[in-house]
Amino acid sequence: MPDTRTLGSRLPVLGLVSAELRMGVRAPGVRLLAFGAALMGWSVGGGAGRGSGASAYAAGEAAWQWLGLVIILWFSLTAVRDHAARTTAIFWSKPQPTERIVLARFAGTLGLALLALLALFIGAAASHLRAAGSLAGFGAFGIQYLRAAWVLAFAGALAYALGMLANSAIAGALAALYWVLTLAGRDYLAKVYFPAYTQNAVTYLLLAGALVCLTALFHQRRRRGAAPAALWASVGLPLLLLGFGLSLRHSLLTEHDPMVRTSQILDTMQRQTLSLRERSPGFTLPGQGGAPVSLSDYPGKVLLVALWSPASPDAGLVLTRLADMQARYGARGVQPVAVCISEDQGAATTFAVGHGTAYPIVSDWGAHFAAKPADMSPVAAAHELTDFPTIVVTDRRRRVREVLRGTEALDPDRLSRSVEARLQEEPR
Amino acid sequence: MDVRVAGLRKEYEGGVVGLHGVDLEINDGIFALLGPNGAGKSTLMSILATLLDPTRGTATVGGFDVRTQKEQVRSILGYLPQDFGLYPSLTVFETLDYIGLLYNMRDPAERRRRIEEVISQVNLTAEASKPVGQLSGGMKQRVGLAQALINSPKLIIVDEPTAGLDPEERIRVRSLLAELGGERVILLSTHLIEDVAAVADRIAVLYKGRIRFVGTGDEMRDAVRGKVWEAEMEPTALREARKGWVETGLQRIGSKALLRVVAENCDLPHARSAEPTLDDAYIWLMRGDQDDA
Repeated sequence: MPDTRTLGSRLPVLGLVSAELRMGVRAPGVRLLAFGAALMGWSVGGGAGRGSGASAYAAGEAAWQWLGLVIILWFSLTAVRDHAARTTAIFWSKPQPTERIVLARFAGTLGLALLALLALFIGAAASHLRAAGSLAGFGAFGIQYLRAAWVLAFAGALAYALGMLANSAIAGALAALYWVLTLAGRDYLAKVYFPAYTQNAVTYLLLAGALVCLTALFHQRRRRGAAPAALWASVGLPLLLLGFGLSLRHSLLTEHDPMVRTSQILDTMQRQTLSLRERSPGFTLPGQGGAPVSLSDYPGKVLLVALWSPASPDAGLVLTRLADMQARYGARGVQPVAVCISEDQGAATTFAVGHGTAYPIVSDWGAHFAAKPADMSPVAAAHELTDFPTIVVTDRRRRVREVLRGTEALDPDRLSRSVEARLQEEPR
Repeated sequence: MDVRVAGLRKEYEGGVVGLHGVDLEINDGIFALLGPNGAGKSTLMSILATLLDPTRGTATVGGFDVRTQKEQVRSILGYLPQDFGLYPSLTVFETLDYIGLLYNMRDPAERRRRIEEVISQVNLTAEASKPVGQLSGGMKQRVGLAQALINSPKLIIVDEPTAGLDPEERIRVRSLLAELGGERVILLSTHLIEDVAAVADRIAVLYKGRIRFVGTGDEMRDAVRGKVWEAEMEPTALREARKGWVETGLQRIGSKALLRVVAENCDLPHARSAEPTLDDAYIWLMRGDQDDA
């Protein structure tokens, strides 16, 4: 007998998942996808001076946007694979319950998708390592990997459910329409519609789970005969749907989103103005760990309030400049505070981990995509934001002394001169 | 072990009727379903394999109802459909391992033992590590048979197992089926009478969704005994002589032609009675002048 191995465990579902993985890693299409993903990661992950955070963030964006579309098509085809491979009659005449086969196929395909995602992040990390020459802040790649992973899980579940329930790859591919809408419709859609935003992770993971349960229950329903449906699917579906509904409701009731509702607190922040020698607009926003951070937490400090966007190519650079300022002048009472203006409330954490920042990076949860920076959030409006990044330099009494915008804000000499001037005025 | 079918009717969407109230009782041994394309053989097999639900009537396999006790039926069933595919990237061994999992064979050691047995049974031991995509058509057919055997089924359904195979492979598959007979039911569908003659214990002839004959090969031949005629004639007379007869063969013998027909009476010149074959019986049963209403 030749050297052969049986598929692992006594649990059939794990054996079936192993078979899916085994088939997938051998398939030329999957290998090509992994190679393409690695190349994509390599192309977006490099760039000297950007920091791990920016590199990881770019990889994450590429992953959910483009790999997401490929994954949708892949799951759509997986849903109708038996028809294409003419395996329907053989496989579905076996006693293995439909629910288990549906789950195993989903899990196996998701496993392969996560391997392709891993290839993308390895490509990005390698590219960044080559450019930066350091492994500092590589935890940011892990965070972004997880973020992209749940987005792909949802994308896959949506395509898989549509494809299997309608028994058509075209129906599965309809999920791609949703994807394109979220890519193109940032101006018009409420934030809750975007699976890629960290604050929506739980909502969409619950929905993904519900979709898998729904597929397990209703795909080839007549195949069960008089046998009852699997408990995990029949109990899981209502529970997951309930969780999804509650999570959605929570998002709609608590988010600040011009498309749905606005927060009174943020509306109040918006009523502030930015004027030289006047008190700098204040805010209370969540920091990396979620704890609120206010400018009033830093009395008597020379503040460098940086408003930046992770989508900007200079996102990593401005954080590096702030870190440099803190290293040089921190002991003399200079305090940087970075305000991340992004619809994704997890972006700030990625950059904070990637840059290993010792100063607070707060997340502007009132941000909504807009063509003009000042329209993006109440905090941005209060700061009359025109360019990313913008650094507001205050004196020790938090009065605005200088506003550096765009390239000026990134110029280390310009920034140093401004800080030095404040320190000369008020050494302590 | 038995398979019982009573009043089985299958109507497809659009009103096409695949089976018109079929009754059958099948016991251990090889039971052949014979009939032309569209006779309803695959419909009947799909119903017994739990892949299709009948519109009316009942079917049980080993006492289990194919409509309501599908999982129990599938557990004792091995099914090789006519048109099937397998994952080309999996090896023969891996394919059978995967099928073993679909049969809920949880113990890896037991699965391995059965895989080795069936691989040996279908004579594919040397190909066990080859990807299925690299096998010839005949070898794939044998993998198909192996996957239907892995759970030691009580009912094996094989739909046109020799279609498209070269003569050597056809004989090999046929011999394998003959070896498998015993304390189980093998339901074989074919339109090749030579397959039936070689292996079947009992035969049912289906035509347009109805049973036209059920019995042994000898009984089928007996159905036309005394009705088979051979007449030798000049080839030039052949065109005129063939008109209006149920013809079952035509041979050239030297400069003469030997026409074989089935009929109650034969008034062809020099006609003589001949020993019936299954071909004669089949063609006689397929003649269109019977009442199908």
